[in-house]
Amino acid sequence: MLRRLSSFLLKWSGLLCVPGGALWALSPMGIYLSNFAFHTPNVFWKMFWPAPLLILLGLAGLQLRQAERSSILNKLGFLVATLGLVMIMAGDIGLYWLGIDDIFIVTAPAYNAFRLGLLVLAVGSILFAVTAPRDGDLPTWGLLPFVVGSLCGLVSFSRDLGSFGAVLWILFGVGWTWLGLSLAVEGFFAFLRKRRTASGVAVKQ
Amino acid sequence: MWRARGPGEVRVPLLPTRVRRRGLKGRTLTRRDFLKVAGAGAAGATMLGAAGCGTLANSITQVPDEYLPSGGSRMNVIVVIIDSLRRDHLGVYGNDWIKTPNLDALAKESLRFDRSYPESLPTILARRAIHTGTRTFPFRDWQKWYAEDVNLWGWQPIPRGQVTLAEILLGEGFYNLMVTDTLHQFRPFYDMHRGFHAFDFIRGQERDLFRPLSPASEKKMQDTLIGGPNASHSEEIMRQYWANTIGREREEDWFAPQVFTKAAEYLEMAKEAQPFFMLVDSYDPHEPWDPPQKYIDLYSDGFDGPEPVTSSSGPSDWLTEAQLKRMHARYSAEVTMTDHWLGHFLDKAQGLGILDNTMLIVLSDHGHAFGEHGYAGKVASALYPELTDTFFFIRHPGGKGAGERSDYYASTHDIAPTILGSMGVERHPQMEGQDLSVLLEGKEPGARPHFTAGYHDHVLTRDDKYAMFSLYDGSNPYLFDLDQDPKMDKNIASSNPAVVKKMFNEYVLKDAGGPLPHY
Repeated sequence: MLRRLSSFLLKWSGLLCVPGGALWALSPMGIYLSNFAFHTPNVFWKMFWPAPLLILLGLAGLQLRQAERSSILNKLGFLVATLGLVMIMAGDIGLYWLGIDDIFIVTAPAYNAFRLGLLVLAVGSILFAVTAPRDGDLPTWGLLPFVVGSLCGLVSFSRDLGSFGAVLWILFGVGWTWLGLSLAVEGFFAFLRKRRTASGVAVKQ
Repeated sequence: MWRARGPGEVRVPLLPTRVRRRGLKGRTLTRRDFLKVAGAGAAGATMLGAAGCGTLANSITQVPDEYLPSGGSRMNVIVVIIDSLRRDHLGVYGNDWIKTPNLDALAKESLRFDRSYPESLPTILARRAIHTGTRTFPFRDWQKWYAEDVNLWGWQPIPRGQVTLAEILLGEGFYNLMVTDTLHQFRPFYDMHRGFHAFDFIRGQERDLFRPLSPASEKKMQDTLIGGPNASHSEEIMRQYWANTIGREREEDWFAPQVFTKAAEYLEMAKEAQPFFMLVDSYDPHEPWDPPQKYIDLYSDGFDGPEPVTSSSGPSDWLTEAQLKRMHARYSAEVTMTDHWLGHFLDKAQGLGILDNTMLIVLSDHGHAFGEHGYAGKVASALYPELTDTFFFIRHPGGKGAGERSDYYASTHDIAPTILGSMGVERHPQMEGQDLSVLLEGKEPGARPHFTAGYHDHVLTRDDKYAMFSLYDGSNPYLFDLDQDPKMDKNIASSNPAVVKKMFNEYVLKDAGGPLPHY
């Protein structure tokens, strides 16, 4: 029972991309509210790490589903994106929880990890999507907008583009949410097909 | 699986039947798909970017403009201003008889400017330029703030409309500290402490109305040489100064030691609040010159008669040669004392590891004359090198520019743009100075082929060939050929009227944006 449950959870952990992407997309609003309420964006940034963590767990779930059919490039994309997410989380915690950059002010390791992690994540995301395996669980209609979102992310992470960059940042988060939703929709239709097939078999019998 | 379409035909992937039946699901994203998507994305981005006049743009501008984390590589900044320290009184600039070991050692680790001048002088004008990155010259809209204030054109608080460096760094998350004994700044309406979290005013310098006059200060007056063109003013200063300094015993009680000791104490606090900006502003070696005897003994074997501790700015012919020499020795002694305590401060910074991540800028605001051209003190009509030439070092924690020299006309109003530039912080539009930090990267700041400065009703200008000073309207000019006469001893204005006219019209009036105001 426990094994079946864990297998089920692993199989559907890719859905964590949905809340992860949504939280990501809401970041500019979170920063705005943090500035409004506390006169600093740092209160929001302190609470930002769950977004990349959820995306990381979701990404791992997606990769697990297609691990056997995954090409080397796809695996590389997964690893690069994972690295990016880990760097972002490490940067966020180092910057806003541990205050590492207040000590190493010239090298600013936490901030640089955060910013570099964003770029690494965007590149890894694009690679992960364009090399997704045929016959995988991720539909093309889910991957295409995800690639667009990742491209938007790449642009917005590279430099501060103000409101325009914030829109691109949001689209990056939406891309992850979309990817997770596509998995859910495909899963739902697969479930219906399976039930229909099962009921057909039952009728025949 | 690929299907050949014959010679010359494009090969297209043959989709497996199962895949075709299932629509798009399960297809690998092909290059064509990717290019389509990338193209669409680029087009979309272009549309978004080009929608400056449309509804879309209006919608975008409603989106908050902050989305990236703030932070990044930073440095602390320490600016040390040493008032009245002449460039030619530092060993690193060629002086072989005044002891300035700490400044000389610092110069070896710094980018050193050989042609630095204050944007305008004296004290308060230099501070205004340092704090704001904005020129005070040509002193438009000057007004004396109160009757007792110093009656020099441009001597006034920082205008309300101007932003200070500390205020900008405050917005960037810096912790700002200021330690100074430079009077005039103490009056709240001078507003020099705008933007500083912590500030400490060491009281009692010169004529700071710090303590009431007393019989003890009157007694000290008998040992003080007073006279010259501004005798009553000098007397007033010294009477207050002696009252302010009653009870001094140890060297630590003198002003430069107090300033640098307090600054060293502040370093410990600052270390806990990095990045920080610290301004250390020492009034010494400004007159009165009364350092502890051990420093005076370095430069003078003794002296009979009242001590020349002030210069009474003006012609120096009221002083005997021995008095001038003694005065110069007392000034030099105060230079060495200031250098010594600067060293104490730098040692502390080194010990705390602060110099490893701190940009250090050390400069003076002007010099002081000791009879070189027949004047003593700071005389507006005698803008010779002993008064106008300052020193200027920039020490980068990464060693950039260490030991290098620049002949750029570095100035007081370059400080703020340099600090902001080195931090990658956008400079305020009001700032007119140059970002000198680019020199540390081997680049050149904006061209400055000539330099102009103002002092009360006089202006100074110079280029590679000539130096010229005159009254605000160009009258009474003095011109010097810097190649032939670098110490500016021989006035050649009368034989070179075209050069004078060119320098006044094309340098002074151009930099001033029109005729100079007068009051």
